[in-house]
Formats: sequence, structure tokens, C-alpha cells
Amino acid sequence: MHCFAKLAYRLRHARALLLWSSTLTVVLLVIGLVWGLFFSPADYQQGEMVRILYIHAPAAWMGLFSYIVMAVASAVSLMGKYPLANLVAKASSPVGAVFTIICLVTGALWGKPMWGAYWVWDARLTSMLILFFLYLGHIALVNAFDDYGRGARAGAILAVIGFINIPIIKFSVDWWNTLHQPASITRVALPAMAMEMLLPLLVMGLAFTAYYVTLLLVRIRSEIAAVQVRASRCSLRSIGKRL
Amino acid sequence: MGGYAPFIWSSYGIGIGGLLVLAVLSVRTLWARERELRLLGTRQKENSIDLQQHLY
Repeated sequence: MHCFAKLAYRLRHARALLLWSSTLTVVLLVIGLVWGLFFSPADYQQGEMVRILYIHAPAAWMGLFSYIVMAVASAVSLMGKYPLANLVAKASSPVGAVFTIICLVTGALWGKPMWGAYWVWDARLTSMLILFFLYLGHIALVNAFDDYGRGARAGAILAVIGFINIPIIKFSVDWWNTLHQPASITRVALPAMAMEMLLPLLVMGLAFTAYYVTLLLVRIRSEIAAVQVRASRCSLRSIGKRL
Repeated sequence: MGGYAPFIWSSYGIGIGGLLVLAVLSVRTLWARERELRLLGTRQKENSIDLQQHLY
């Protein structure tokens, strides 16, 4: 309990970061949305449908990134007693789940006019769907136990095992013949898209990252408050018994 | 939007709506827990005063 009190004290200093990240989220989202919807050019093949990319691709990146954060935090918590690691993992999973479902739904809306179907059992789509189920499983597991520690441990094991899905998602377009196109932005090659499209995409990517940081801070504070509420209730009950 | 407006606007609506709903729910949960913590803190102080009166 003492470590949670220390964490709560430290997180009060994170309020400045929260203010900055939330402001950055709003500013970047407005710029990215207006740019992507009204000022970026239509694609020569996809036409206006390319605009869905400005929501779909950042949501996919952040769906993967949230899982990486959750899996690393889970691995750290399994290696030792780091209360913050458990809280980071628990706070990250609902945010990652929302990013992943946004990616899946916007992908389906893009797929209908482009591929002629909302859904195909393609390797990339299927592995993203598995990622969504992993998030749901993690959320259910950490909340399934009365004992906070046992729930966190069970969720951590699932998150670490489920990490195998991350390279499968990343390389699915290279390992199998898929309908989904390969990555347009890689570290080793120049981006396969025009700068007029790349810039709004990067702005939206930054906006989603700032949103993730903001929500992670809010949810960690919320989880610490929940732990403190539980501890206060226990202490009140014990005082009540003594009276 | 070249006849694709329903697909494009629904994508943006679902995307931004989803982010907004999660943000609102997260902030409301945080506020509720902090309010409960403050209430419990006050009750704890009152009870510890009661306990001291009982003991001494």
C-alpha cells in the first residue's frame, strides 16, 4: 500500500505532462482530421477512399504499440514486484482494444468498395482480430479475480504469451499471399507514398500517440485510486470491528 | 467524395467517436474513484477520532 501512496504522489507531478499531452492530442487531431479530410489529394487508384487510411493506419500502429507496452510491462511485473508495471499493463489494454477495433471497423469500411467485401479471412486481418481477442481476454482476466495480485499475474501471463502474435501481424503480408497491401512506410526504404499524403498520416499518428499517453496517465491514476479505495475500505472495516 | 462519402464519414465518425467515448469513460471513472477516496478519507479520520475517544 505504501508503494501505491508513493506512486500516487509521483503521479501528481505527472499532471503537467497530462496537460501537455491532452492539449497536443486535441491540436494534432484537429490538424490531422482537417488535413486528411479536406486538403490531402485523392489517390490515383483508391480515389477518395484513401482518406480512411488517415484513421485506419494510425489505429493499427497504436493497436500494436499498446500491446507491446502491455507485454513489456507484464514481463517486468512477472520478473519482480513492480506495482507500476501491473498498473501500466492494466491501463494499456482497454486503450489498445479500442485502437484495434477502430482499425478493424475502418478496414472493413475501406474493404467493401475496394475489395468488394467487408471481411476476408486474410492473414493480416485475422491476426488483427486475434489481437483484439487477446485484449478482451486480458481485460476479462485481470478483472476476474477478487485478489488484485492474482488477476494481474494471470493477465500478465496471457499478455506475454500473446506477444507471439505481434511479429505475425507485422510480417503476415510478407510471409503469406494476402489481399492486404505491404507496409507503405518502412525504416529501410523511402516511403511508398506522396509527401502530401504522408504528412497528414504522420500528424494523425502523432495525435494517436499523444492520445495514448494521455489516456495511459489518466487510467494509471484511476487504477491507483481504485487500489487506495480498496485499502481504505479494508481499514474502515477493521476500525468498525474494533469499535 | 466520389460516391464514397458514407464509408469515409462513418470511418471518421467511428474512429473519433470511439476515442472520445473511451476518454470520457476513463475520466469519469477517475473522478468517481477520487471522490470516493476523499469520502473514505474523511470517514476514516472521523472513525479514528471515535476510536481514540473509545480507547482513552
